[in-house]
Amino acid sequence: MNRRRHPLLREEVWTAAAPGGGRVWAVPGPGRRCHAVLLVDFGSIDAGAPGGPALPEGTAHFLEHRLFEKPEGDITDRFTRLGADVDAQTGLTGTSFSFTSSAGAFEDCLPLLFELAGRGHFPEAGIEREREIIAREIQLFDDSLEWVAFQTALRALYGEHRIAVDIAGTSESLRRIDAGVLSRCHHQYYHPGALQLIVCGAAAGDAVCRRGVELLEAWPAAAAGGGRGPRIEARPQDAEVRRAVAKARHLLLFPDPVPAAGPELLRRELSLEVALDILFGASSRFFEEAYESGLVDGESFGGEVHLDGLYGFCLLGGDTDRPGQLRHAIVEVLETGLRQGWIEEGFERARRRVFGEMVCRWEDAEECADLVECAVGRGCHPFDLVDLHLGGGALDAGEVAACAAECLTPDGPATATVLPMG
Amino acid sequence: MAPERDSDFDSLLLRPGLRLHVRPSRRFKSVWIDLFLPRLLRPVAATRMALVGRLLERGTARLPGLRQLNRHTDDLYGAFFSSQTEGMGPFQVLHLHYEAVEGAYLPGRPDLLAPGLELLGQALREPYLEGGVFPEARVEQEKESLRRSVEAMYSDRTALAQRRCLEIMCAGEAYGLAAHGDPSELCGVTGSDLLAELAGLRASAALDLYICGDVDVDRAAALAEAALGWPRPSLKATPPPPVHLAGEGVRRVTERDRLAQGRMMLGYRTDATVGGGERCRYPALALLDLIFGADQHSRLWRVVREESGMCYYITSYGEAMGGMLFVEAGVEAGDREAVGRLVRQQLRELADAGPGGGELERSRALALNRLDSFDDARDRLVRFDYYRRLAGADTSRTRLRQALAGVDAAEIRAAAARLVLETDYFLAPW
Repeated sequence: MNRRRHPLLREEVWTAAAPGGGRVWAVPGPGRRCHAVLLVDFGSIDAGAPGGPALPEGTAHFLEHRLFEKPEGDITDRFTRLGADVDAQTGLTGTSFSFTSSAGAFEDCLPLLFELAGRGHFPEAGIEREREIIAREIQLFDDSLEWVAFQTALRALYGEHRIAVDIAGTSESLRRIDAGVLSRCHHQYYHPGALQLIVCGAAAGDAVCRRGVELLEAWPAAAAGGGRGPRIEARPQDAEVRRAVAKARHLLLFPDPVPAAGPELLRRELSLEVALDILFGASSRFFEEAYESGLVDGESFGGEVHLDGLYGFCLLGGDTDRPGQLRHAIVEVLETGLRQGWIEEGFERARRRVFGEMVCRWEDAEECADLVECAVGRGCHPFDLVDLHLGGGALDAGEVAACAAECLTPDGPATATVLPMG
Repeated sequence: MAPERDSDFDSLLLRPGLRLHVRPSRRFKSVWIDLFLPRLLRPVAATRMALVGRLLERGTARLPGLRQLNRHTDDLYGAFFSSQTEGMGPFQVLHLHYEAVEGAYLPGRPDLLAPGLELLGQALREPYLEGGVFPEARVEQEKESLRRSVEAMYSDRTALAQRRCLEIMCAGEAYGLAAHGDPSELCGVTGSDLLAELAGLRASAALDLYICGDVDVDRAAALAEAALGWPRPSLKATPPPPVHLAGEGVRRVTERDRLAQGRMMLGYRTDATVGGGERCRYPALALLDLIFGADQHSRLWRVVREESGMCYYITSYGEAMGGMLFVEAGVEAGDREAVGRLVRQQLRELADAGPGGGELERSRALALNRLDSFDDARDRLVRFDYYRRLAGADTSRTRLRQALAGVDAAEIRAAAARLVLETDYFLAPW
């Protein structure tokens, strides 16, 4: 068991590894709530054992849904009886199961969380019903502009690659998911080495570590994981879809050519966020002019950085009725701003801002768990994120400008556009 | 103001029309300030106030433009400032918000509370004007922004269905109006109209100022007085208008739009409201909502989603001041009748037989846990307190807690029986 303290933040992070695989992270905090997240290293891009048949798209998400059903009924009821809220999410590279409870109920909820993720029960009737529910979920998300725009961006960047298929799958792939597929995946991917438990809030760090390790040790034995393929190379092109929207959503896409992992990946991610903020954020000349001329609005315009060991890209854009002009204005800022040292000029202000925002993320149990997840999902310690802001290892303007010059290249970003119906 | 011994805030009347509520605490790493100015929702005026809310975010006399304003908050370590109008029951509330890191976590320990109160005071009292009015160019930009933001809001078809159902159900009532304004009322509005609207609100609305952070009440009071202490007459709070009870029969409405999946809304009325006084029936209604539809363990989720597989999501939510409860679901047009029947049947069963199988205990545990967890979420704490003040209700969380703990199965049955379906709305694909 290891404990590190941060004097300025006045936070401490506890961690312990289970001998048979798996790790626990605990950030004790004030208040009455605990938030616990069990991360499983299995997401929608995982296609199964190398050389074997590819898993149907949407398997990870389907499995996450079905794990709530146990022989005695939906496990949600048992959390609710303890006054706890339970939730789960599937992403591109991971699945997470979480609950929020009072400090008093935490001890009873934690084993339930392990039971939720660890105990598979896949009767056929439930699977058939789940197909219908997920088919409706996919249809519902097709009405969401955010979702459609993000999916279109993935398609523009990665074409037919699995990463660009909806996390929930397709109506066709859902038909290929059955009890056998779910059970095999559960065995193959849900093993202790693929698990990390994160607990933030009103629970003692040493007690959480001890109990977490016990629960990891007691995990039903399972095969080792399926392994991941190589980094997914972007093949950017322009993609367009039409939906019933009032105006176009236009996103410029910048694949990051530089692979990174561990603390380097965190540095790169923060560097690109700071660069986008200086050049296009709410305090930039670009934003003021684009807002005042009606080219963009305050709600939808913004930049995002998506970096992972397996893929990496930045998105920038929003709703506009002049997509061509928006693209032109952004490219112009990249051409001029990077050459004329705008990053260096705006760095100190942006640095203060991201530092203040980072400090505030530690005050809330859910936010804190997100932050820890972001670090430990990349094989880092949560304080590595803090070290990017302070002391000898802090980011500097030159580094931010260099990352921006590598990734945010003005020549020909790909685009994803959701156009209004004709 | 009478002291409230079990309140979440230390509250005091600083001067007529200006109440201060302080929660001194080191629980968080940031300081939060919320300022609320309410008035009843009215056609046209609500749209104008929505524009005013947006203009206050555009600049002050000292920080005239977006860039200056945002750079100022960047320099305050990424402080966040916003101004917007929000709907709370029949009220439109102008809400100014500021949050910033506590100086104790920053090199040199700067104070970021005083600059926050100054910023809020300046935004409200000295917004950026040209020739004594809001500049026309900005007014036109914000009209366009408001138009777009409403369009974007309704690109979310669930939000559109919610709004349409409320408009139809509460036609002619303040509850039916949108606090974010109606784009059809923007034409011809000028910068001087908007300044008059703001001046009217400043003169007539009772201000409630909430401060949560590492600050004592005396210092908070001195800073608040300096930033917001202009002379104003004694003000009486406007109570919410009396609730409408359901008329005869169900109003059935079908509208069509471009969407992939239909959205069903069922609007119910009841006489149980949060402002119901001593013998308030609201706690039973809140628990009924959880048993019936508001959560993943609720009946609607279990029966309509898990057992019938007829939808991916179905939920219920209440409008606590107006005595209303809504059920919403994403449903195929062909399943509208079947889903509607299942929903009505579940409510009927709750009215006839009451909750069973531990439903009441589960919902109560969840409700109490959520109420307790407000300690960790200032936005909920502030909104809970302010909403209940606006509603003219008992403001204490402790007392609501006691009331929830005492609700029995017979009260749940009675609460279900008093819900009357008034509007059956469906937004169907073309």
